[in-house]
Amino acid sequence: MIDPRSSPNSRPIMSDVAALAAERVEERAVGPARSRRLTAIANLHYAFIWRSLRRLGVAGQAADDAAQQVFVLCAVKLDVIAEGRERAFLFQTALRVAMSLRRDFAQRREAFLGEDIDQFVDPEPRPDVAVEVMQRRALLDRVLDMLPMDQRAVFVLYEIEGLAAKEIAALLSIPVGTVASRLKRGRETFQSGAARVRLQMERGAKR
Amino acid sequence: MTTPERLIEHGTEFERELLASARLDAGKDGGRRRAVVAMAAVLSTTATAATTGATAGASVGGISAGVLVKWVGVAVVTVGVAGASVRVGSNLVSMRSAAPSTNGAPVRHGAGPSSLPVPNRDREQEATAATMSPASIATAMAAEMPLASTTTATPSAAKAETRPSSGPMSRPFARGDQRSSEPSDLGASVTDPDTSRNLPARSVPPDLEGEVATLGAARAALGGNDAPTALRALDAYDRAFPQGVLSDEAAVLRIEALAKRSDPNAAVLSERFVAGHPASPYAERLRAIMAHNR
Repeated sequence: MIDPRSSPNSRPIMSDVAALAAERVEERAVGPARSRRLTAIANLHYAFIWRSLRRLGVAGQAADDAAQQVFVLCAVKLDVIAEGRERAFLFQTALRVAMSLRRDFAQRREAFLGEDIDQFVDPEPRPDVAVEVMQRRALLDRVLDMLPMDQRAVFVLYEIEGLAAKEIAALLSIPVGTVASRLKRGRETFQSGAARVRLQMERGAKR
Repeated sequence: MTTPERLIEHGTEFERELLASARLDAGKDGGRRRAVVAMAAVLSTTATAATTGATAGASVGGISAGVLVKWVGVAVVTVGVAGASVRVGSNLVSMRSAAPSTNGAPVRHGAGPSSLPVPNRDREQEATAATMSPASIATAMAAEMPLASTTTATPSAAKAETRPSSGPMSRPFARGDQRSSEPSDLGASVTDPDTSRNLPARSVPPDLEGEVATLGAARAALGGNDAPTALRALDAYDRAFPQGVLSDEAAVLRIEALAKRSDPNAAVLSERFVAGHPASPYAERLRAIMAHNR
């Protein structure tokens, strides 16, 4: 590899210096400050990440595990996550985890072809949540499932989490213009999908 | 840019109902705590590794014995209650401490050349470390994630955390369940009486454990200057986890292993990696390694 910025003779032990410096940063970070940072990250962002995973299509119970996976990865990579970028790291990681879980699920589902997946019931009904709300959530997720993941992420952040386009751009490390176009397409899909689901419901009710 | 009016306020009634149902959706109590414990397990292992290294060098100011005891305590509690989490943790240890430095050099998990000298912990190096801001690395880190592929990090990226609670719109959305930003103590969260009840023996998906273990093997081999074994482990990793979350780390380890053998493919792969992840912290590392190996 040719890097025009470094000639063979300039700073030959650059890698040593970089490695040492990284290590020193890390060692200094071990300790109470580090543990406080991790706890603060979990306190601040756990609910957001859990919710995001759900709306990105991770089923109820799996969301607990997926959220834990996201935060463990955050702990592993803590030293390269800048102050202030924790949320972006977590969300982008959650997005990856959600996509990988959905791939697995899609593969498994092929084994169950013929079963009506609309009959799928949350394995852990929550007694404290009104049945009506749970039904709506199931419908919401069904409509969201119609969105490609990139649009879905933007849509969820904008319409459900209530973030501004600029915040979403920062969270996903994409330009604001991309946020706008994904949001536009996501909304179109969502609106037509919601209309379709509603029609199905009405037909079902008449029968 | 003008953003559209939000559907939760201006959509059809049905759309509003659907979107509103997402409000207050939250996991069972204890999920957050479980995540903290799992993170602590990772951290404790890191702390141990760093301390082991430190004994070879000199004293490290940041670590007090008390803290370490606490971390170990966290790990022990976790073993009792959610053994699975700790298994992950200990695998992470093996990954991090897997470059057993025969010369007693501190363990590094940045996949550095194993021939580094033992650092003298003097003020000068303290200064070196200080100049290398983790912030710059991390912005880059976030930018290498998949969705970021359309662009590099935006200048506004650093504002990700500034989530305005301002404005009238904060009400209808799913938020407000953030816990106090006051960081509680990790130890406290573990001794919390209802922690044990809330810690089912479920774990991080096994894939991550496997990934960490496989990469740990590769790293150990690389630390022992055994590039062929490292490459075999990395081949195994690629086969087992084609979509692995640590695939970047695997790619970097592979390049290092190839570079160690003076394999010309190292340069090719390195170039490709840097082109694909220009802002990655590993990109900088690879440039350094390749420059060093020329």
